[in-house]
Amino acid sequence: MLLKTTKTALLKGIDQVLSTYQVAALTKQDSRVLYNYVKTSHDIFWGCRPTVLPPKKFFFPPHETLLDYTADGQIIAKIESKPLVLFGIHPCDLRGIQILDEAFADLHGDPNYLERREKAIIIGLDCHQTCDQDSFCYKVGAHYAKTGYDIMLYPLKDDQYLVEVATDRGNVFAEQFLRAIKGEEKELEEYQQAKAKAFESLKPFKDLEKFPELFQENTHHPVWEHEGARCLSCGSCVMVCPTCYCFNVTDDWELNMRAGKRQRHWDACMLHDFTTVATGENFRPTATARLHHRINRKFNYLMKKHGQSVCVGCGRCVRACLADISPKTIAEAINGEDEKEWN
Amino acid sequence: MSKKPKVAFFDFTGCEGCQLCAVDLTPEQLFDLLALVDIVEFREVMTDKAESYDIAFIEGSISRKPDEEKIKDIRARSKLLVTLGACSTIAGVNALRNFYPDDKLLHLVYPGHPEIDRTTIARGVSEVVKVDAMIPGCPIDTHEFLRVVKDLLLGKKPEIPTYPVCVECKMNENTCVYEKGIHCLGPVIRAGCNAICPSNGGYCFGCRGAIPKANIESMKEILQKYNLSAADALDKFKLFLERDKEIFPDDKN
Ligand code: SF4
Ligand code: SF4
Ligand code: SF4
Ligand code: SF4
Ligand code: SF4
Repeated sequence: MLLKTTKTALLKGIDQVLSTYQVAALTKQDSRVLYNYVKTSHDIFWGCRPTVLPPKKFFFPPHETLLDYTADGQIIAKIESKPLVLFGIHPCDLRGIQILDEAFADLHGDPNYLERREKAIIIGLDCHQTCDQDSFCYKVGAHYAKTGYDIMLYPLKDDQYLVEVATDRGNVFAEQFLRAIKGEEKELEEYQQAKAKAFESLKPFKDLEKFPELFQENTHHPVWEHEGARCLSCGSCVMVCPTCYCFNVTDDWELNMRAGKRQRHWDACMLHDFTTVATGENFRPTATARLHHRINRKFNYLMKKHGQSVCVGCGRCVRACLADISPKTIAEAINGEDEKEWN
Repeated sequence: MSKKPKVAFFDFTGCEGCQLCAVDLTPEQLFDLLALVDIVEFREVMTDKAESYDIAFIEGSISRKPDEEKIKDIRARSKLLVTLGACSTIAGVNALRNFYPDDKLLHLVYPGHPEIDRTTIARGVSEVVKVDAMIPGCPIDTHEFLRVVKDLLLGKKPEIPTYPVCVECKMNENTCVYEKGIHCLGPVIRAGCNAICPSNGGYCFGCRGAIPKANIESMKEILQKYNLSAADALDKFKLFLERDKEIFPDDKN
């Protein structure tokens, strides 16, 4: 279903939503743009600026308690979840959420992630240009959201928005909270044509669909050593990535030793001790081996599994990396898109 | 006689801040701790002495001849010996004295006291005796101290992070201070402080010591890329890390 509305109506709608739901959106805090809970619709930042952390933190927080336990053997599983409206999620992050949805639903599923995700309504906000020079969503086609939203907003001129209602849940939500008129398909087509024109010169990766094979064949390409030598193994790239999901689990006893908590924390394959095992061996002892692994997760191993690039090109890792290491640079070396001599 | 493990605290060259952090507890925490261990020696708060210890916590650097004998004696009488804070773990700020010759230094710090005539260079405890575990930081973090105590009592190897401050800094959603033109050692420094400095308007100056296998060459290049001269970049590392073998592996005496 396609509707059309105004920014004023959206702001009003959100303020109404806020009496029932928690709403999280892009907000500005000093120089940072962060996904955060808002108190009123005026807290929302409407620009297209990359946030430090992606929205995964709402479904998969950096730290969470999985179990409470006691010394006498009681175990209580814990999931902290609340209904949430995520507002203004850009296409790259929608794709990130879609990939995490698949990853956390795999095998027996991750109840903590899935319960939080189930309680969320996602309202996307389309981008009609790239956000900065570090983003490369267009290289992997992630500047278009295919799925992963209940409602999608397309910005038109004069603070007007086309509203694509994609799910039943989105429909109920729109009926309840959004004053809108019917939208014309033709307007969406025009919007998409203008967007395609804006991105015309920004081409996707050469041979993107062949990346798994190309990366498989190029394990010994000199770009790995070239970039890996500078890597600090600081883990920043993993922390900020919308599709990285590794974690560590710890048991923390209270000081009285009568009860404790089992907690999980974000972990990162780029860290030296991530692959250290109980006997002290480390399967990926060098930064180069770890970089090779992480980038292959994006463009090879998991790309095969998810049927699309698992790097969504948001550029967060590029911005976060003090050593200027970028998946884009590496991919362009592997597919021969750049002319650089890496030896 | 109580069967609880005997715990003692000793201080060498340091400010005693880490010992204070160790007892900066709520009344409940203090009672819980005392239910688990017997504190048998702790100059800060009591006068008792004991013959041997299950866990000896050592604050401060080894920086005088008599310190060496004293720490060896404590080691011989302790089952486990644990460093408490930067001074005892990596020599910390005390190691700044190592850049001065003795005569110049003593005149500078203790003018008119010729009786103070000898110090050695400042060293971390592990440079003199075997250390079983460490609690880094200037000062230590009380929660980390309690966690290490619990781990040791449970017979576990204490978990001190081997990953750098950047991990915690990113979890806290900070803008990297490099974006504001400030230099930070976070990428090569051991986490566990919850990135307290960069999260509160500062930057990391390395008080928890380097992570194992830190890429110091790349870190130096980055400091220089962000307009720090090679000499200033080196100075950055010297405030806390002069004795840190990860950073300065060769020039040890
Ligand atoms: S990276 Fe692309 S899709 Fe993501 S916010 Fe920027 S322009 Fe939009
Ligand atoms: S952010 Fe850069 S330096 Fe840090 S681990 Fe990632 S690639 Fe290496
Ligand atoms: S690898 Fe980097 S650019 Fe790709 S999705 Fe992750 S953070 Fe974004
Ligand atoms: S401010 Fe320091 S600790 Fe934080 S990300 Fe930047 S370099 Fe790392
Ligand atoms: S941020 Fe750095 S200087 Fe500050 S407490 Fe942590 S390790 Fe020490």
